[in-house]
Formats: sequence, C-alpha cells, structure tokens
Amino acid sequence: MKKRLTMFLAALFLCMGTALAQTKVTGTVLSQEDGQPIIGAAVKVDGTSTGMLTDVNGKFSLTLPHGKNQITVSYLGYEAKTVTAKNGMRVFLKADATSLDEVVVTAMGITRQQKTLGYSAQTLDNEQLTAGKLTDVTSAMAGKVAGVQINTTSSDPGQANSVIIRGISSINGNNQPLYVVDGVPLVQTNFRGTQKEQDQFSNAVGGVSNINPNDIENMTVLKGAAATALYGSRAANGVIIITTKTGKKNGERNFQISYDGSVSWRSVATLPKMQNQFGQGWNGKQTFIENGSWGPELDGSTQVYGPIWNHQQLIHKYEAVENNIKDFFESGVNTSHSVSLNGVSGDQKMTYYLSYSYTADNGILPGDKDTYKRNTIATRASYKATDWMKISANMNLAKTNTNTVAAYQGTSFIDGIMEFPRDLSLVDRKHLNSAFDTPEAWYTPYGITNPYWAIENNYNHNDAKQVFGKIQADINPIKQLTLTYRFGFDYTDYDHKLGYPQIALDDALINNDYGYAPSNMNQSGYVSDTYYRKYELNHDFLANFADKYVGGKLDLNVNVGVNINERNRNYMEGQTDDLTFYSGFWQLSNGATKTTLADYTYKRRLVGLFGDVSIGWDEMIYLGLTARNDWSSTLPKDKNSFFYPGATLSWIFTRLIPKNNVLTFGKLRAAFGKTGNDADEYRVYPNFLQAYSNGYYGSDLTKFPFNGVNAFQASSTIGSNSLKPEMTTEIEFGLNLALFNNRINIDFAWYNRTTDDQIFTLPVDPSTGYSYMVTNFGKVRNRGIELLVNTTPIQTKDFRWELGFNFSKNNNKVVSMPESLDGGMVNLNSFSAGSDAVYMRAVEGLPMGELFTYLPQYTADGKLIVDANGQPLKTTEVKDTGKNVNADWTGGVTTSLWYKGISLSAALDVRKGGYMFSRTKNLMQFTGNGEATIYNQRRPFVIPNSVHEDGTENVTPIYRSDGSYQTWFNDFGANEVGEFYLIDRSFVKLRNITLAYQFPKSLVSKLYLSDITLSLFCNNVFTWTHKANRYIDPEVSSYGNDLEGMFGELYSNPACRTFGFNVGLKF
Amino acid sequence: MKKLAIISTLILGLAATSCNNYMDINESPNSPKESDLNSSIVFPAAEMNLAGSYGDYLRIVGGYFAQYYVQTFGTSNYLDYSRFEQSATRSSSTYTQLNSRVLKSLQLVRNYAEQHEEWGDYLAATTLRAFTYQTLVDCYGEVPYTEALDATNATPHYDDGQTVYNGILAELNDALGKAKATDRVCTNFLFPGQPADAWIKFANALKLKILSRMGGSDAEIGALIEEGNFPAGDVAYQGCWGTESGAMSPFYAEEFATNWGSTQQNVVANIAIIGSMQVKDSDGGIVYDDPRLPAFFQKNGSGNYTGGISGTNFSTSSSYKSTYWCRPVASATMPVYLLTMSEILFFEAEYYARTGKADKAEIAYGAAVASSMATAGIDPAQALDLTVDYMAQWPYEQANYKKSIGIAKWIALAGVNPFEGYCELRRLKYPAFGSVKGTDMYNETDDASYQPNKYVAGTLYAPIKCFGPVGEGNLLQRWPYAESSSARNSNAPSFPGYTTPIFWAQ
Repeated sequence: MKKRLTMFLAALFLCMGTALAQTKVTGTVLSQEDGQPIIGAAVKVDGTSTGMLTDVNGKFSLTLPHGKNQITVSYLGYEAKTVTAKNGMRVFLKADATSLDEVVVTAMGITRQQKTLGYSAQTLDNEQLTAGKLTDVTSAMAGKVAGVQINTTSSDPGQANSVIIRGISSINGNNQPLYVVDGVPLVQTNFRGTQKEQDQFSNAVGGVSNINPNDIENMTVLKGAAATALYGSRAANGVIIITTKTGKKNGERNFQISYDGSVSWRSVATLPKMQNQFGQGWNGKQTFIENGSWGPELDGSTQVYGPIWNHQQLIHKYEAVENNIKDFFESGVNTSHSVSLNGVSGDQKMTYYLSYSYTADNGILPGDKDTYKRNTIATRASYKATDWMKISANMNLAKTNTNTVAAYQGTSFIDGIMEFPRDLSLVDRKHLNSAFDTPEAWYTPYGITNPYWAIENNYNHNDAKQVFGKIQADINPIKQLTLTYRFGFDYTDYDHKLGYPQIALDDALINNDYGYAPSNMNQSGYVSDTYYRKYELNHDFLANFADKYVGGKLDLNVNVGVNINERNRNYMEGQTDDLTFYSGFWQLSNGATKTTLADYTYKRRLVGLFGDVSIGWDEMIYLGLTARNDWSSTLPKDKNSFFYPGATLSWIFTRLIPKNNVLTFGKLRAAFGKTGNDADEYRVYPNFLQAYSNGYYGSDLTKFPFNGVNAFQASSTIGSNSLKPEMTTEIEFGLNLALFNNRINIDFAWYNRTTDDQIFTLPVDPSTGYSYMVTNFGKVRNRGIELLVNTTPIQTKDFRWELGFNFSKNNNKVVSMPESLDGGMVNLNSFSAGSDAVYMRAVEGLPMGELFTYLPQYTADGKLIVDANGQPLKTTEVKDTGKNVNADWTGGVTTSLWYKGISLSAALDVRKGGYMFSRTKNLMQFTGNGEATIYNQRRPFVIPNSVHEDGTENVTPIYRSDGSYQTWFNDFGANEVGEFYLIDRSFVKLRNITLAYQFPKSLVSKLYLSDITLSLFCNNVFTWTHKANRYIDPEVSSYGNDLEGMFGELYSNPACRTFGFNVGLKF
Repeated sequence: MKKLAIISTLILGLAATSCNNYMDINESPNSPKESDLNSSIVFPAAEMNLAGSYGDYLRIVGGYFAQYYVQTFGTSNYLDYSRFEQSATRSSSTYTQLNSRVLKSLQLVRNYAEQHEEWGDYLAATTLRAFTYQTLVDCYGEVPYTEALDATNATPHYDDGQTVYNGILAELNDALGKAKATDRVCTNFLFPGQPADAWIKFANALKLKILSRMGGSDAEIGALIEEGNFPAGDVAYQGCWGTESGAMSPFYAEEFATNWGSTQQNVVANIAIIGSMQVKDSDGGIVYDDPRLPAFFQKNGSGNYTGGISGTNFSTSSSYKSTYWCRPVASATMPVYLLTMSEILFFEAEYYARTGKADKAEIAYGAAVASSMATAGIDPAQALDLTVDYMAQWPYEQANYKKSIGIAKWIALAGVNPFEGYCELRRLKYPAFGSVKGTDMYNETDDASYQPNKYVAGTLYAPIKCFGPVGEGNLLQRWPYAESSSARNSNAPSFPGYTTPIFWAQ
C-alpha cells in the first residue's frame, strides 16, 4: 500500500475537464491481486484532456464529454487498462508482468530499469528496512539480501555492524561496502576502543548508522565489480546505495506529515551454560577468595566467603545460585520517535522534506551506563527554476551520545560476572554501600571486582556529531542531455573520554585476606581523551545523454564524468595517569603526574575520470561498457594512475517467445568488471615516530620524552615506493526468471572475483628491522553462487502469502602469496595467553582465515600421547586445525502473510559451518563455571586410550586434589589443547517476527488521517547454535567489524532479544 | 547553457593541469623527515627499548629458568616458566622489540655515524648492537644476523650462534679501532656526557664476556685482561629512572607499579636461591647468612626468608599464601644492569683457573664476590670481612673451579641480572641438579609435605610438574624461535628441541 501512496505524484497530467455535454460516471479502481482499492490511479477519458486521480477509497467520478466513453486507467506498477465507461463500474488492474520494470538507482545516481541491468542489484524498500524498528539500517538488511553477511560486534546500544558482500576479498582489513546516500559517499566511522581497552567495542559514530531508517525510500545493494566500477577504487567491496525520501504530493494535499514511534525492550538472550554442582574454590579445595568454582561439591551448608574485614565476614549457603548471572542483567528500553513533513509547492516547482528523529537506547546492564542517544535532522529541497534547470540540496545533522561498558579484564564487569562462583549471589551485591561491595573487601582480589562497582566507576563516553549532504544542479541544455554538478560533503567528529578510577587500598581494616590482599587490586587510574575530526569532500561533474533511435528500438545512454575527492582526518589524544580524584572527575587536569598529548593528520586525494555507455535494442538486449581512470595521492607519484574497464550484457530472451502464463519474464546476464584500489595514506615513504618501549603486558612501559630527552624510532611498518594499485576482477553470470505471472521470481548469480596485488601490510620477521612491510600481496579468490527466490504461493482478494528464500555459497581461497614470503603465511589476528595461542592466518591454497593453534599429538593408531605427568603432549608449534572462519553457506527464509489490514512477517537466517575463537568458552573452563568442567564428576581418571611417547601405557591419573584436573582443562583444553578455544559458528536464527495492523481507510479518513499502522515486533527471537556452542551468540565479535573481527570474541557482552511495538501515523 | 558547459570544461582542464601538485600530499605530517634525524635523536630510543626488554621480560624469565623465582600463591601468570616451559608466543614481543626497535635504531645510528665519521657514536651503537645480538643468541641459539635488518629481504636466513658471536666480535674490534677515547658520543643514558672512553671500556668488557662465553682463545682473553681497560664500575642504566608512569625502571613498572590497571603479584623467591643464600643445618639453624640477601629479596610477612618450589603456586595450600613468600627487592629507580664489575672479575677468575693460575684465580674469585657485595650496597669497609665469611661457606676449589665460580656467580647475579645468571648456569653447568626433586619438598595435596629443609644449598632441583619435553633433571636449554619470526619467515629453521644446548653450552 505504501508504494501506492508514494506514487501519487505519478500522474502529473492531472487536469479537471470541463465539458459541455455529458454523462457523469462514477467507479472504483481495485487491485486484481487483493481487491484493495488503488489510491491515486489515473483515470483519463481517451481522446481528451479530462481525467482525475482516484481518492483514498479508489473512487473516481468523471463527466464524459459528448461522444467519448472510453477511459484508460493507469497506475505505476500495474498494466494500464482501457475500458468502456459505465456508472458504478469496478475496474480491476493487474500488476505489471514483472517487477523488473522497476527503476533502480545504480552507480553515480544513474537510474536504470531493473530489467536492463547486466549485473546483480537487489533493492530493499522502506517497509522491509523498518519492519524490525532497528536503530541501524544495516541491521535491517540481515538475512534479506543474498550474498551479504551482517555481523554485529555485540548487541550493546550503539554498536556498529559489519557488512560483507560476497566474502572477504581484502586481506588488509577493509571489506566494508561503500555507502552512497543520494549520490554522496558517506564516511563510515566506527570508533573502536583504545589500546588500553583492547578494542573491546566498536561504536558507530558516523556514516550510515546516523541515517534515520524512516528517511530512507529504498536501499540498493550493488554486488559485483561491473556494477560498482563507476565508483572507483572505494567500491571494490560493493556499494550500498541509499535513496532518501523527497517531497511529494499526497493525493489532494500538497503535503504529508508522518509520525512513527516505537518502544521496545531488550533482554539478555544468550548466556553460557553453567554447572551447578561445585562451588567456590581452586584445585578442588574450598577457598574464600577465589573467582571460580573449582571447589568442593555444593552441599547446602552455611559457609563464609571473602576476606575478614573489620572483624566481619560474609556468609552464604553453599548451594548453587543458578541464575546469579542472568539476574544481574536488567531489561533495556529503547524508544524512538520520528516526525517528518514533506510536500511540494503549489506550483509543483519546489519539493521539500524535513524530518526529525530521536532514539534513546538503554542496554541490559544495570543503570544507565550502556546507553545510546541519537538525534537526527534531515532536510531536502529541490527547486525547478526553469524547465532546463533544477537545483537541489540536502542537509543532514546527527548527534549521538554513547556510554559504553567495554568488556575486558581489569576491573571489567564481564569478567566479574563470568568468573563469579556458582554459589554466590550477585544481585545482593549491588548497593555499593559496604566495603564488601567495593574492591576494599570484595570476595576476590584477583584482578576483578564487583561488576556493579566496575560499571559505576569506569567511564567510557563518546559524543559524536555528523553533518552531511549535498548541493546539486541539474541542467538540461537539450532534452536528451543532462549535466549535473554535485558537491557532496560529510563531516564527522567525536570526543571520546575514557576514565579508569584510582584504587588505593591500604588493607588497614582487613583482618584476614586469606592469602592475597585486596591492595593487589590497586591501580593509579587514568583519564584519556580523544578529539577526532574527519571530513570528505566530493565534486562530481556528470553528463548524461539518453535518446532512442530507430523508432524507439535503439536505446542509447551515455554518461561521462569526473570525480574529485578529498578525505581528511585528524585527531588529538591526551592521557594522564595517577589520578588525584579517585573517580568521577574525568578531565586531564586530574592527573597527578604527566599528561601526554599526541596529534595526527591523514589526508588523501583522488581524481577519477569515468564513462559509461549503455546500448539497448528492442528492450531485449542491453550492452553496457564502463571505464574509469583514477589518480590517487596515496600511490607512488609516478605510478598513481590506474585504469579499469567493465562490460555487461543482458538478454531478455522472453521477448522472443509469445506471452504466456508460465514463463512471464526471463533474462540472462553476463558481466565483467575490474575495480582498482589505492593504498592507505603514507605507505610510500619511511616514517618515524616518537619512541616508546613495551613490557610483556604493559605497553609504553617507557615513554618519550624521557628524563628530559626526546627520541624517535622507525615506524614498525616500512612503506614501499614500488606499490602498484590492487585490482579486483569479477566475472558474473546471472539469470532472472519470473514464472506464473510473477508468482515466482528467481534471481540467480554465479560470480568469480579475484583480487590481485592487494596492498597489504605484511607481517614480517622483525629481524628485517620492521614488523610489517607494505607490499602487493598475491591473489585472493571468491567464487560463489547467490540465489534469491521470491514466491507468492497464495493470493486471493483478501489474503496473500509471500515466501522468499535466499541462499549463497562463497568459496574463498588464497590463490597465491607474495614471492618475498617464499611460501610463508600471514597472521591476520591472534590471541595468546601464557603458553596458549590461537592464530587466524592466510595460507596459500587455503581459505582466508585458517585457524592455527597448539594441538594434541596422537600415535599412528590414534592414541593420545601424554607426558610424564599424564597430561597431553602439545605440539611445539602452532599447527593447522583444518578449521577456518568462513561459512560453508548462508541462507535465509522470509515470509509474510496479509489478511485484510493484518500482516505477519518473519525472517529466518541460517549460517552453516565455519569456526570462531571464543574466549568466553575458555573462561568457562578456566573458572570451572562451565558445564563442561564436570567431566567424570571431577573424579580422578587416567586419560583413556593414552600412551607415553615411548609407547608405554599411561597410568598416571589426573586428580582434582593436586590441581592436575584443573590443569587438564586450563593448559590442555581437556585433551583438545588449543582447539578448546574454537567453536562451530553455525546457527539458525529467527531474526524477526512482526505483526502489523493497518487500519481500514474508511476509519482512518474519518480521523483526518491517511494511514494508521500498529505493529508488534520481536528481533533476535531465538538462536539455535551448534550443539558444541553452549557459550555465546556466534554472530558477535570483539575485534571490530572486518576481517579481524571474523576471528571471534574476547569476552563479548551477551546478545539480546528485543521486542516492542510501533505506531505509524500519516496525515 | 553553452556557457555553463564551457565553464565546466575549464574547471576540468584546470583540475587536470594542477593535478601533480594537488596529488603530492603523501609525505606523512606525523613523521619527522629522515633527513632531520640524527644519532642523538635515535640512540636513546634504542637504549630504552633494550632496557625495556633486558630489564623486564628477560629478567623475569631468566629468574624462573635459573630457579631464582617462583610464582606466588594465587596467581598463575608465569607458572609455565616455573615449570621450565617456554613457548614461541611468549617471547615473541621481546624478539620483536630487540630487533625492530633496538637493532633497527642502532643501525640508523651506525649509518649516521659512518656518514659523518662520528666514531664515538659508531662505537656506542656497535657495542649495544653486539650486546643485543649476544642476548638473542643466548635465548634462541640461532638468529638472523648476516641477512638481517634489510627491508628488501623479508625472509632472512638464520645464522648459527658461533657465526653471530664471531661477527659481533669483529664488529667490536672494528669500532674500537675507529674510536678514540676523547671522541664525543651522542645523547645517551648509559654514560651521559662522557666521551668515548667509557664506551671503549664497556666494549672491552663485553668482548671479555663474549669470548669467555663462546670459549674463545685464551690468548685473546689474556691480552684483554692484561690490558685491563675495563669499566671502573657496573655498567647499568641508573640515575635516569623516575617515579612517573613511562619513566620507571621496567621491571618495577611492570610487576610492582599500579599504572597498568590492577597489578597482580607474580614473582617471589625460589627455595633454591633462598636456601643457598641462607644456608641452614638439619635443625633449621642458620649456618650462613649471605649479606646480599636483603638487597635481593624482601622478607615475608613474618619477617623470614622463605622460598617457594618451582612448578607450583601453592594454590591448593591453606597455609602458604602470598604473604608467606618473599618478593624481590624492587624500586621505581632500580638500575638495569648490563654488565657488572663482579662479572668481569669472575671471567678473570675463570681465565686464571683455566690457565692453571690458582692463586690469581682465587684472588679474582674473592674480588668478584666482594664486588658483588658492593653492587648490593654493602659498605666496602665491611665487604672484605664478609667475603671471607662467604669463602668459608663457598670456598674456591681450583680442581672444580667451574662449580665454585658457577655457584658464586649464580648467587651474585640473583638480584642483579637473573638473565645472565640463567646463561652462565647453562654454560658452567653449576649449580647442578641435586638428588632432591621439587616433589620431594612439596606435593601440592598436603601442606605438611612442604619441607624446604630438604633443599641442598648450591643445587638445582626438578620443578613439580616439570614441562614434559624438558624432563626432570634438565634445564631449559633454548627457546622455541619467536612466533613473530617462525610464523613469518620461511627460512626459520625447525626447532632443535628444548634440551639441545646453545653452541657455547655444548
């Protein structure tokens, strides 16, 4: 229905006939599919200029001039119908043969009919994007677009998403698509935690996350190189084109006011499965201060715990508090309101759109320490000054405030929770008014403290602002030619402040610390500030020539253009240590010792010259040719120019067969495209940086200036003055079919994408003098299929059922590595703790992201080899596990049911295969809290089927009492050694259910409104994980949102389920 | 309309012609230009990175592997070291720091110095380079050397230890040949404001250390000793440290300070060093109390010296908690020792012993112990008497000079340079493993089983749960090649095994 509403403007030829002699007829225009009235359909008396638009009930009333009785009824998306006018008539319009007649926005804002495209382009409309009422439009894409993988860093408020189209191509980090809003590229700015926070979160502070989903008209995903080549080097990972709403005439009114408001609640959805049999302790013995459950069996007796402070000690029942973690979380609330006004001027020359939105999100942590607030204002206006010139301007403002609770060791809350003994109650410790609820006498001094205290006293706040938009002029010197100039800008800044409190305990009131004093928790505290500014400017000059020849059979469309782009970011960081005021005063002046400041600037420019020719014959064959040449400032001066062409061919073969009711539409398409890419800034000349030295745990153990002396050292990365641009080449074949009058639509694509000469900062042996070398890296291939099937199994007057499937399978392979590596391998990400390590690597001949770790060793006949202590013998080096992070396939099912005004829709998302690193899993066995740690009821055992290296049988038991049982878990991963960190990433996720009710028009119009829609929704409804994953939602990541993030999670905050309701009003 | 088209074309044309300047913005404003750098700007970076690795990580692991340290109650950060386990990952960041920040910076300084013929700077950089390469060989046995520090070769070959040792000796001789005692030396923290003379003396002492370690020719060693142009005091980074974060002595900053979030206690004294410095009879009576002990370790919560057992953190104990154990003495301004007077004297003693000059050997042995006492802050007036006491407990035996020197040196380095203690332990093979094992002194299931009196002074013992591939009664002889090299460099050799000695310990 929404589409019909938005198409009011389509019939601009409206004029009221005044005639002389005359029969008056009235009638109703209805949709043949569902019998609903069509609002705004054009009804025209043939051979006259008389006509009108149908009203909200689909009714029209015409006076026929003498001798005229044929009327033509038309509406976009429906086949026009010419009928003889009769009073009280009902005209049923049939939907167009194919939705492929739909117009899509392609590269550089060029509009094309879907059916003419020689490449894959999938469009989501506003309704699909806003059904789940998600704050961020990228989340709304999940499961709906074939070949696109959405991952979230966590479900904390304001977290950024990862969007990867057709697998990972760039080993270098950035695999995110380019977002283009109304022709203007947006700078995707995610804020990741600082070094000290170990990158434990990724906040969205700019880019697409600041777009109010209600402002979006539609979003098109361009996947292949041929589709994206015109955008140049930045489009190598695909392009997501967002077209926002503009001012429209709304029926008889020149304007429309809409309101959309929703409230939703979120609650924790996934927590690790815990054991409830053993309580606080270590190595099998009861301890009063341990953070873990390696103690004796729970027996319900009354026990003390924690230190004796001021002659007092806490007591509790030694029994499982099964929900001690779950109860810690509260339900978060999200409210959002969006108001918009849009319309056209009385003379139709001016359009305007104005919207304001407000979103406030409070996460599941107690209190208001995990919050996200966003205010956006969007304005757009266009003015058609003359019939050959149109001026338009967009301006968008966004402001966000985020409070994040980063998860990491230290006094972090997630450690505090996950390591909490199974027999203690957490919710009883929330008041923070007793020494037992603060580090002073917290039950454990081992690096963690009361999570309530940690949340209250650590500070992590980000204020961000974004201004983006464009000014555009379109000129038509002749009808066929459009000249466009567009100035696009995007400015983002953020101020991030981080504060860790001072802890300065003297143990004066501690009577017994049970072996390890609370003062070991002392920290000097620090404040860190970052002021960050980033802008991007684009000048686009574009000439478009379109005409038809040979009686309309030859369709010619030519584009030529220039793009001039400048990107700049600079920031200043300050930090001060040894706080004077222990907590809450988060200014650099709080530091008792020295304050360090550093500033950085990065600037790059790119000039691109591009052209595109499309030739169509008889609406049957379309040939497209594109070419672009870029000059980039980031490449060596004499090699900074690079050229890349593309070609597409599509053949609508159904033009050759007679119209029939089985095969309604069919198109074969082929595309070849190349996309070149440049380097990051400053990767050519040697760089030096202010010197520092690291310790084993602490970074910047020694900082310059030091003792009055400043010093510089070579950057750990050496640039290269022989860099070549990297080149992505993609071949795609596709098939579009529409069957049974559009009841079944099939879109199939096969693609083969290779990225050559990737510009990669290659980790090298530090004995070269550098840890990284910028180089052109071998070749990575992604080859796969995408299948999208949309069906309408049932369609009657009142009832419609739509069912859609998407499936994609991508095979990733590292085809070759740089010669300089001589067959080596490259670490992409890693985790190491003590003698454990897990690496994600690129290895020639294997998929990107192969996982390596220390493995157990087996004899030829499959017996586990153990050492003298009866524990598994680990390999000396990390070995290939044969597991990697890539999915075997992904798929989705979407379905919608409509009955009268009621609609019910759901989206299911499936991912099969792939592995990830999970620190949470490891933590569950480190602490003895995890379900797995009650193996053999923790009784002594000899590892079954195990032998010593010399072949003799192993008879050394593993005991709880001497700690070797626990060591077997901690150091030897219960025989799996390093593989104990890995979990299967497969899941089936019921991502969304939405039930909506659109009030009948008759009722709505009585309220002087044009639409009322109420909806109930639930997101992340349920996730079924692989049976070996009893720990986390496999979509989360702790390492930001790209290739590195594919590695896995390091204590991620738990995933959430949200449910809520929404009210949409239109006036 | 045409006007607009013309204007657009003009703009495009202008953009194209000014393209070259417009595009020339790729030199980082965040980095000084290479031409603006000089030795005084780069050399301190090399020094602090060397001090950061040598004075912290290498001190810690050396301490565990030489049985100076064990892991305290309750925490387990370094428990693996305590069991003689070392992994490729554990040492990786230290390998990276020594190569890409120490040796790379020294290479820059040597280049500047050579260009400007500033031979004092050249000698200083060469001396620290030799020191660093020796350290790397002493950890790994083999490292890239002849093909190292060349950004055009991503996969440098490893050189065997002997080649590296020969190479750095030749480099030292070359630099010593170029520098004059009066040459000025760039900004540095080791000998601030002093001319090259101080570096010549240090280089000579380093040559003595290298030659002695590798079993070099006695003629060369003898000539060096004869010349006697050695430092007059300990060579150490001292006096430069402060109490602020980023300025503290590295070991203290990492293990004691509170700047990096909460600090966990890890390192406490081992029964081996405590039992050898405070020797008791079978009744527990103190037979000998080394005066250096208070300078090396703090007393425990009850005012006693206690030592834990390698391989355990007493986590199952209800009696032996963290306050039961003795932490090392450390302060924000503690020195990072590179080479002490005492070591020079021990090498001299060894030379005399080897060449049959027992009298001179014994004198040097005593002088080395006395010098060690001076380093430990003992009044020189008392040092002589105390050395006599020491030699009554640990007399010099010419017939078994390696044992005498080995034990004396192991004790002398305990609170000064645990990494060097670990190296000399492997070379001299003393202290040796006794018949008592860690499990004989504590069995982890029963507090009553803790019997430190079973320890025999001047011996090592097998850790509880000794790392399997090392095996009881063996030292960890070498470390797996650092992961940052072995995973990235296809020319990294395969690991010869944890118990295969480095060339100088064969």
